[in-house]
Amino acid sequence: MERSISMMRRSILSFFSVLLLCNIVGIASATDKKVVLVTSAHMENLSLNRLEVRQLFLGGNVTKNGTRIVPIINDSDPLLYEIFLQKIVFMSARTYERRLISRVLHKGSQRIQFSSNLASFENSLITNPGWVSFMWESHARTLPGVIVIEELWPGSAK
Amino acid sequence: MGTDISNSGVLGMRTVRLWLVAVLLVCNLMTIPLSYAGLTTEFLAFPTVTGAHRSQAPVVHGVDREDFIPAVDLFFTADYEEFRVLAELFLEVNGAHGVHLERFQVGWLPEPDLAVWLGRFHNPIGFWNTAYHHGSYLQTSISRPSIVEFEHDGGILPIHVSGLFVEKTVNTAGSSWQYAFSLGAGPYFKKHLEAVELFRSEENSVKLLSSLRLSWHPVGAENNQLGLFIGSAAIPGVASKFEELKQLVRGVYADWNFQSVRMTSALYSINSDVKQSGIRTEGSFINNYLQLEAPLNADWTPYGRLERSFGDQDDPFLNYADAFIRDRSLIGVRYDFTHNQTLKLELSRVDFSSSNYNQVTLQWSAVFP
Repeated sequence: MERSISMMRRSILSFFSVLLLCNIVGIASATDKKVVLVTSAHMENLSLNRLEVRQLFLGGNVTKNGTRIVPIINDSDPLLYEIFLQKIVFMSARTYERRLISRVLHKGSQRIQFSSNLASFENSLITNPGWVSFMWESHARTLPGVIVIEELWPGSAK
Repeated sequence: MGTDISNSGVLGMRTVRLWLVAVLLVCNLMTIPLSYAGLTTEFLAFPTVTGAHRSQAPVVHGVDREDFIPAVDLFFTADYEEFRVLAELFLEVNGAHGVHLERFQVGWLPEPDLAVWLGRFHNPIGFWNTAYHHGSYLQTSISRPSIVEFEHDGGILPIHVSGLFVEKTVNTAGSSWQYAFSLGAGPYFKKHLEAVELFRSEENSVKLLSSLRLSWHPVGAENNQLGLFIGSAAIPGVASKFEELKQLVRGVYADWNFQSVRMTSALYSINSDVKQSGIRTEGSFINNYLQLEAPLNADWTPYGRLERSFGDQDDPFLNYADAFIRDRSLIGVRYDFTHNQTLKLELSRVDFSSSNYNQVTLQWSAVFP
């Protein structure tokens, strides 16, 4: 009986070790990809500091040169979204999403849009001046109609 | 509390019609495009199903030994240029609320950090009342602290106000300051506090109320805030044992996230001046609550809360507020089993002035879409 419990424990430990290893490998493979803040090419001179970016994605109001800046969440890649949560808003997904709903319930206005469809996301970003989001740098460089405002995450803690 | 349409206790034709209208309204709202000719809209539904069992039948008006209460809070907001409308309609099947228009605000936003509202709104007295409104899903616990309980549920403070509400944010280096000011018609007292309604009110029941709240939010840690508030209200008695209550409320609060623990706490100092048969009696008491939440992971959040009143025997108004919970100790757990649905279980010890009981409460809540 004791032996089977001990074997079971070992199996569970092995299972979690494999999971941990997969996670580490997954994160390591992502570290060479940079995350950048992007907008439509119509907003060439747009600049936002890190606090403004954070305020924007927490539902705050940011206006630049008379244009209201509108954030849109790139939800097409779970890893990218996770990096956004950890490096930009410093919250778990549930805390972040509850916070956005809470803000709408109190002050009104619209919830920040989430876009999981990449084609529709790209189209929204390109055709709406003032819309701002984040994506992999490698993706942004190949997307006409989109410009990089700044680097949000360097890709690794070198 | 709100526009009370089903007080008879019987699910009459009027109530059924209202439910139907509400359901139709919801269906309609969900089909409105997000943006049309400069008009943008948002719709949220917060359904809940709550079951409670108490160790004994309380000798308190309006509280049964068992509760089973399905409810839904419907929220709608629309923006057009500098103007905004928001409405919150609460529908409850078995509870004290019935069908109520809890909030209806028309706002003018001349600049991004200033909002001037007219209508019916939640009084900015402390933290809880304007953080969660009626959206149960958003608060970690099932219950609200008794000091900010809704009027119909035994609350002793003006929670709903009809009038003017101004909110202003001032950003400074490293932090932001938020001001909230309200001025309007406060509640009246019958068997319990009754909030003044937008479209119906008792004769001679309207008196002025004002509140002011100031809060500090450090930039970079927007989940944290510290605040202080003050509120003054004249509350007339309508067919009650006293003619008028003058209430002065002062307090401080904190909502702060430490590394793995969130703390929400508030301290209220309440002065009451009750006029009965032409004689005035004054008194005061202090109430505070402390809630701690310690998420284990993204899904599970255990929490606990202590609520205590000090000097409550000296407050003349509390003699009339038998449904007010003086002290409460509770522990609970919240389980977020999907990204928009949660189950909560709460065990509490509840003390009124003349009775007490233990309570177990289970709630499912969600937000859609």
